[in-house]
Amino acid sequence: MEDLNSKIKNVIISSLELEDITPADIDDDAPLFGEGEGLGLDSIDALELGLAIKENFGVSFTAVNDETRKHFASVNSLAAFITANKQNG
Amino acid sequence: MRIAAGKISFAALSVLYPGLIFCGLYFWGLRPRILSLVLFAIALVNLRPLLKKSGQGKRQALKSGLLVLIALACCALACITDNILSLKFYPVAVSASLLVLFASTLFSGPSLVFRLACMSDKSLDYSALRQFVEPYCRKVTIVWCSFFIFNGIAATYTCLSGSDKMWAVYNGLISYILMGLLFSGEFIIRKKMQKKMNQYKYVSSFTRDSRDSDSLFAFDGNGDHSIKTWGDFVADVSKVRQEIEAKPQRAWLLNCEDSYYFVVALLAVMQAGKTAKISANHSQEFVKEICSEDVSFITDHAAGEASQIQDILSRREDDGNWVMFDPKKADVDVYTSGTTGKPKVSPKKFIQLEDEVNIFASQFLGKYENAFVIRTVDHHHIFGLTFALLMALMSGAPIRRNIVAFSDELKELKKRKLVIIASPAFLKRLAGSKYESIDFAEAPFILSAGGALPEDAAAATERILKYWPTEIYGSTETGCMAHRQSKNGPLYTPFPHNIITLTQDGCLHVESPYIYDEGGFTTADLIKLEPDGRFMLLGRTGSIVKIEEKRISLPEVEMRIRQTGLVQDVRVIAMSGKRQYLAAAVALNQDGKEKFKGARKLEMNKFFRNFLSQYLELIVIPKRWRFPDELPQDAMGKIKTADIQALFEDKQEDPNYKIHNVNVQGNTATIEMEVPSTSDFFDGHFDSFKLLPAVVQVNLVMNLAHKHLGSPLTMHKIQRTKFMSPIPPDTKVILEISYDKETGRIAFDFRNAEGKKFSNGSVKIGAEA
Repeated sequence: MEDLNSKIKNVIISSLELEDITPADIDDDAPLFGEGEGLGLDSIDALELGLAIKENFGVSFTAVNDETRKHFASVNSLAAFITANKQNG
Repeated sequence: MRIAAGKISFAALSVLYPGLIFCGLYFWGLRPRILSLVLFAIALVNLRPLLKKSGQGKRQALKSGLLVLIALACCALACITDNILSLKFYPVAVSASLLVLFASTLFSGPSLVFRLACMSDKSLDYSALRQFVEPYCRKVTIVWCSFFIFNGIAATYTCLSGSDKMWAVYNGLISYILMGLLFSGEFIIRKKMQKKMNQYKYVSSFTRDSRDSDSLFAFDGNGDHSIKTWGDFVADVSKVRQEIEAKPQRAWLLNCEDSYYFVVALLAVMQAGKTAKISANHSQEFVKEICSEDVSFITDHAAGEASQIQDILSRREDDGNWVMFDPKKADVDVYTSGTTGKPKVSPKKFIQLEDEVNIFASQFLGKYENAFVIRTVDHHHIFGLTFALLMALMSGAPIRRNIVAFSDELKELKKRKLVIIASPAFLKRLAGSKYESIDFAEAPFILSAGGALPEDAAAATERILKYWPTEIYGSTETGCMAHRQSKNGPLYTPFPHNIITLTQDGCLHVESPYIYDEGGFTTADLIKLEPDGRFMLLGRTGSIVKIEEKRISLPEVEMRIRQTGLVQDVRVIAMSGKRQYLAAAVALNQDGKEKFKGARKLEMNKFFRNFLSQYLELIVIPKRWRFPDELPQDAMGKIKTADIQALFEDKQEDPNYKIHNVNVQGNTATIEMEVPSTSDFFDGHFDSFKLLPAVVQVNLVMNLAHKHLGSPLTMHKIQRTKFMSPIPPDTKVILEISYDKETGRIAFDFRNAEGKKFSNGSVKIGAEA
């Protein structure tokens, strides 16, 4: 799990070309999107990240809905989503 | 003709009135009732032009009407009461009505005397001299008002307490003598002022004796031998003109470091009836590109085949001529600095340059009076050319020959009244320095143009140079359009006769008698126009960009960033890579630097992003940030987008360590570096006693080996390490790394220049885990 989390963080940083941020700066539970204390990613970043997750982990998001938004909430929730889908698949 | 006759009879009646009344009473024994007929006649004379309504001004009508009423009222009173007093009061009433007439214009301006002056010289209204004439006329109007008050009181006194004789002598004689004295006194003062004002003239109207031949024309920082007088100037123009006339070329490229040589050459080219091409660029390639069979090059520095002006001056003789030229036909091509890269040429007629200066002079001529003009900008650009050279020439102010490059030089000039033509670049540097304030004998006048001057730089300039710079807003195409002193707010005030309007796209459109294109000129500047005609600059049209379909004005984002109060200057640009995004380059001010002292860049990014999220959608909040000490700018103080972009092109140097020198030989790199105490590397490890942790040292080795020797970033294991002594912050260390590709080993050695060993060891790299 720990490994997966840091891998996700690396994917976030490289796919979104984030600057000045190291994996250590991303809190496992902090919101990735929206205003406030999180990473402050926007809707374009979401599209980008969806693609990167598919490429790196082989899981894809079929539709953008409230459900997927939940998965995108934090690193932890993304990890849970990836783990669950991999097992299914 | 009839009106003139009426005026004369009115004047005669008015002047003779006290005498007539006196004679009527004493010598002819007439009753006041009969004598009141004189007043009736005065009323009648004044009534005629009033009834005709023939093209007279409102005020004139008012004056006539007022006099008719007063005369009739006094006349009626005298008829009814048959009392002499009401007749005697007529001069008092006239004084009072004139007082009302004059004084009313003091409040609703322009003053009556100025209106009269404009009637006799129609050009006055548009002239730069208006700024002198108008206040002067106002003073004269006030003097006349005071006189009418005094005269009214004196006349009243003679009515009430004095004898009839005394009344007649005062109102019929003394009062007129006083008026005459006032007139002649004012006339003498006016002539003196006119002589002074005549110093100001268009360059194209100069004659050989426009100024005294020994009057100072140009000076320099290095003593008397560099001084040039008007006499030197006319002689030198004559010499260079002959040289240019003798050559077949139709156009001349001008480049002189010395302003004196520059104006001599410019005037000579104009007088020879040829085209002047003015360019700050005198690189060999540029000169080669411009010069041809038809274009020659004149300069004051040695440059190949160019005509050297000093050489011409020593060879030629003054022929005693001064050739007049038509400024409407004289061509001046001014090359722009080429913000976009390639220098652009802006062809102008000499008259346009003069008119431009005239617009400016309409507000600021007084500042050049008895002043010495110095510049920190290049006189080949339109700003320096118009304000430092042409304006000085036209106003008769001596010119400093060479550019003032160092602010120290200003101290030497503190005893003089100065006009300083400066660029934002110069003033910002001055403001950023630790210069003590200069105690000028008289506060200088400082002009800045070419780019916005940040407010704190303007404030610092005021502290050091005793003047809050006046910023000029203008362009090569439009001339100067408006001005401001940012301490009075961000709004620009248009120069008179510039009509500023807003286009549909929100851009500034200007019309002025000096823009020859019909319909004026539309700039690419977005403005906010106030109802009173003043305006605020919001940015360039190019400054509205689309970020992933979302329109956003870059100046707006910049404005919000400024609202943090932590920012000295900021530029936001649109970038695109994988996606489109905004990037912000921010130079922090003192408060900002204090707030973020020792903070990580990530924290600074977050602070600004969070602040902006109050106002902007996430998508247009800048994603990348740079915090340079100063925004990059060119010599004219312009901040070019390309330079800002360059800030974002390469990942900035890691603030956690500084590399001083790198020497790579084969598979070994020797790196001189240091880790500042502000570095994150020290975080969380022995706060009171900072040392570079071992794990950081190994990480540094991995990163630097990757960067300079091309080794992979992944580590298999640490094979051997030896830590002999700690590395404290701010220590200059030498790191030697070698990478053996065969064995996959990186060996490292940290030591200092004296050979003291800190640590060494080796690391085995490996495939991705």
